[in-house]
Amino acid sequence: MVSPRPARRLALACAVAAALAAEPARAGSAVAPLRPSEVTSVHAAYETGDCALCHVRNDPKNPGKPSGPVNELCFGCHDEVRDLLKREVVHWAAADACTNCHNPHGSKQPKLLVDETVALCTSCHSDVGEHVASARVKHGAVTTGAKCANCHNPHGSSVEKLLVAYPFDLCLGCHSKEGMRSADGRSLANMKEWLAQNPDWHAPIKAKDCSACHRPHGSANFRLLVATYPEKFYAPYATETYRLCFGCHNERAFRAPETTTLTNFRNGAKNLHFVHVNKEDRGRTCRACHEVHASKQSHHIREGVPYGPKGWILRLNYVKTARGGSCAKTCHETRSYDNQTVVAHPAK
Amino acid sequence: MHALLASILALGALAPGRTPAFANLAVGDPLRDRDLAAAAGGKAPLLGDARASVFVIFRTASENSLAALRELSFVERDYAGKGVRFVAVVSDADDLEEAKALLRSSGAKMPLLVDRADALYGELGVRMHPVVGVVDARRRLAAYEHFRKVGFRRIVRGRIQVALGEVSAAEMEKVLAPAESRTGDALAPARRQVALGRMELARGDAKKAEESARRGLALAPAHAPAHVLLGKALARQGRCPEARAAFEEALRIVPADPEAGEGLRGCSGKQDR
Repeated sequence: MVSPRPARRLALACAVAAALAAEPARAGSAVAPLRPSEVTSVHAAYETGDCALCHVRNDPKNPGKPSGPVNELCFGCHDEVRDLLKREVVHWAAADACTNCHNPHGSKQPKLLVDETVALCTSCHSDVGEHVASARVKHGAVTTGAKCANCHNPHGSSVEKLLVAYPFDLCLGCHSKEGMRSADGRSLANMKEWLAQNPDWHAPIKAKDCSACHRPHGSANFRLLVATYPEKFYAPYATETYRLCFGCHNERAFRAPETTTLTNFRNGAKNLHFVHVNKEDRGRTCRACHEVHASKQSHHIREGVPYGPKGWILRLNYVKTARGGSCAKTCHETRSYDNQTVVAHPAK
Repeated sequence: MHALLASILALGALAPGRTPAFANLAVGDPLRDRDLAAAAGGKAPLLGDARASVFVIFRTASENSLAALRELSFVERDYAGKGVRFVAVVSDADDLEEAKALLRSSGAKMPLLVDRADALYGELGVRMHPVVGVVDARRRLAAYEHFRKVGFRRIVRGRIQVALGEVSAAEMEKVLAPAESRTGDALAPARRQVALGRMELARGDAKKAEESARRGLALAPAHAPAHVLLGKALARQGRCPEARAAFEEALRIVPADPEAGEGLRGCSGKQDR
C-alpha cells in the first residue's frame, strides 16, 4: 500500500471498468475504485496499472473478472493472512472473501478497509456497536489506535472471539505504564508493575481472564466492571450490589451467620465474612480487606487500608495460621480466628 | 513488541507458583469416590469407573454456570463413548428444578447430582464456581478449572487430554499460552513487495519488478529474497554487473540460497548489454 499519485489515473480507469465488468465478490461489498480525490491509500498491485495482475485481461477498458478466487489472489502476496485463516478460530467474513472488508483498489481508510474500522465491524456485529454506543463507561481501546483490531484479529486467531491473545496479555499491553487515566479521568494503576510486586493473584488473573470482571467494550458500571460492585469503601450489604463478586463466589458465604462449609474465614462456625460485610450501614466492602487484583499476602489480603484525607495506610497486620489467622489494631483490636476451635474474645 | 513480549514473559515468571486448586484439595491429591443423590432418583457415584471423570459444580441463577455448562456440553460430545464420565453437581440449597432446567437448556446430557448440606463443597473447599474438577483413572485430581470467559472449552478439553495421557504437559502449555495472532510480522511488507515483483517479472515487466524489489529493500535491507528478485529483474534487463552484485548480496545474507546461486551463474562473465 502506498500513497496515491496522479500517475495512477490509468489504473483507476482500469479498475472502474473492472468493477463494472466483474461480478461483486459478495452482495453489498464495496470494491469499486473510489474517485482519486477520495483515496488516501492505494493498493500497490492496483497502482502498477497492470490489471492482469489480478484480472483476466490487462485491458483498462475491459479487464474482466478476477483471474482466480479472490482470496487466493490476495494470498499470493499476503501470505500471512493465509496462515491466520488456518488457526482454530477463523473470521467467516475473511474466509469468505477479503473484499468483504477491503477494497483491493484503494480506500480512504487505513488497511484499504471499505469503511472506518468500528463502523465496518459493527455493520455486522451490531450488538457490539449498540453496546459500545450506549455504555456509560467507555474503554479507550475501542476508539483509539487500531480500535477493534487492538484486541481482535479480524482474520483468524488461536483464541476464541478472534482475540489476538488471552485477555491478560492484551490488557497488560496497555495497562503497563504510569499516568494512564480512564475515560472519566480516574487514575489507572500500572497493573503490570502491581502484579510483579504482588505474587498472590486473584483467580481470574491467574486464568488470564480480565474479562471475568471487566467488560472491554464498555460498561454501565465503574471501572468497566461486568456487574455491580459498591464504589465506596463502606456500603450497606445487599446481594444485588455485589453481583460482580457473586458471579464466581457464593453469596451464601456472606449471608449465612454460621457455616462450616462455605468459607474458612470463620471462628468455629461463626462466619466472619458475614460479620464484616453484612451490615446495614457501614458494611465493609470486599476491598476493605482484599486487594482485588493481587496482594503480597495469601487470600488476597491487603497490607493496609487508606485512612483520612491524606490517605495514610493503616496496616491490617494479618497473620495466617494453619486453621485461621488474626488481624491487629487497625479496624479493631487484635482478633484471632480458628475455623475448628473457637477463639474466645473478651466482650466489648 | 519485543519489549511487550519480554515483560509478559517476565510476569509469567513471577506468576504465583501454587497451581490453582480447591481450598482443601490440591492437584495431585487423591479424591475419594462417594455416592451422591441423583436428581433423576436414587444415587450415583461422583467419579465411577472411567478413564477420566469430570465433575462441574455449578449454581442456579448464574450466567457463568449456564455459560460453563454450554461449553462443557461440547466437550462432553467430543468424548462421548470414550470412557470419560461427566457429572454436574449442585447444592441442595439451590432449587433442584431450576438446576435441572439450567442443565437441560445448556445442551449438556450429563447426570445431575445433588450435594446434600454442602458436604462435597465443604470437603473440597469450593470457593469459585462454576468449577470443574478432572480426576484421572487413579482417582487423583488431575486438574482444577474454574470458569473463564475466554478459552474455557479448549482448556478443559486440554486438561482431559492430559489426564488421559493424550497430550503432554508441554503441549498443554501451548493451549494455555498460544502464539499471538498478529497480522503480519516485521518482514511482511517487504515480502509483499517481493511477491508483487515476482508477478510483474512473470508477466515480463522487469522494470516494474525492479521497482518492487527496491521498495522491498527499502523496507527490509537484509531481506535476501528482495535481493534475489532485484538480481533477476536486472539480469532480465541485461544489466548483469548490477545483477551480480544483487545476487552476491543475497548470498552474503543466505549463503545457500539456490536462486541467488543460479542467478549468479547465469550472469557469470556477462557484461551489460
